Amino acid sequence: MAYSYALAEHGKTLATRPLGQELRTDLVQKAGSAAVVALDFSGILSTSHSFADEFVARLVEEVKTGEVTFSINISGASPDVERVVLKALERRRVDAPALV
Amino acid sequence: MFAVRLRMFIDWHRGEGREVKVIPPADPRAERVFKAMSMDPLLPVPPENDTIMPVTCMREFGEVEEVAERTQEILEYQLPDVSPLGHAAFMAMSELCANAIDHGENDLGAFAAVRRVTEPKRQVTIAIGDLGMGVPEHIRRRYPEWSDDGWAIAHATRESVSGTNNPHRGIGFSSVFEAALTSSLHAGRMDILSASGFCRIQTVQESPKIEVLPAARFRRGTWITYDLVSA
Repeated sequence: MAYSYALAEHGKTLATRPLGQELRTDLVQKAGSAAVVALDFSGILSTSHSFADEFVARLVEEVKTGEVTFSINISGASPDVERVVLKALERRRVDAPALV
Repeated sequence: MFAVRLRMFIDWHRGEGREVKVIPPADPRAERVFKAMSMDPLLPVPPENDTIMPVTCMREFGEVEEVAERTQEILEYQLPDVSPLGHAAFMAMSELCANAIDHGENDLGAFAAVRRVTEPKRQVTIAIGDLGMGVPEHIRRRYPEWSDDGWAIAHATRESVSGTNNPHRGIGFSSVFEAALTSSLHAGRMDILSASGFCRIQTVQESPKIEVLPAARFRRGTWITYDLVSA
């Protein structure tokens, strides 16, 4: 079963580390027993590096360590957003999830 | 930065229970800018072409989210001559204002303003100030050997250098400079004044050039002016 988490429900831009932490907790609760979670960035103008680190990179780390059991893919990211997300993953030295 | 400093001065004295009477400048253009930048929050804020964000006080991260988003939207949708700077301005507002709240640790909060300048070049100027502990003291929590305030600030702008013990922090300044490295940017200049330190970072080509300059005097808190000049 796949679950899609629409980030645009939380604003056109995603700026801070506390917001990243809040949305990561929210996503893990809502994903339930989904096998695959899509992080849907459609409609997002920009994300900050701090948000991307706290939301995406930490989530990918949790997948890697087995803290969460679903796998992740990223969809709908603009080139600006994709660049920031990939940089956040590179900083934590974790593999990028599938970009669809 | 004058607008941010004046507004903080007014808010601080009013917060201490003192009466502050503000007399706007007599010159009509100066008066319009004075009011549009909300230097006195008790006066109405009229619209003015070059004011992207009047001086705004932030105490919570949710307010940082709002001002960063509003800055990018105004730049990208309402000001076509500087619209390519929208993403770089968003990154500066989000990372630097969040830093000011996170590390500033001051009841008065952080203050920021954004303004367009059209002469001699098209640019966006961002000013951010707080009365917190300042960058040098914060960074010396982890690197006590960096005793010179100017060099402590310069070090703090490097990636992964942070006053916290978290190895994943310390990405704010470097991500701001990285976002500015686009073909839409002619030049970027950031001045950071904190305690007795003054550090200037100029982005013209691929990598930022860092200079430590003599500070005129001690300043409580952290004061950042960031000019993004459009290509």
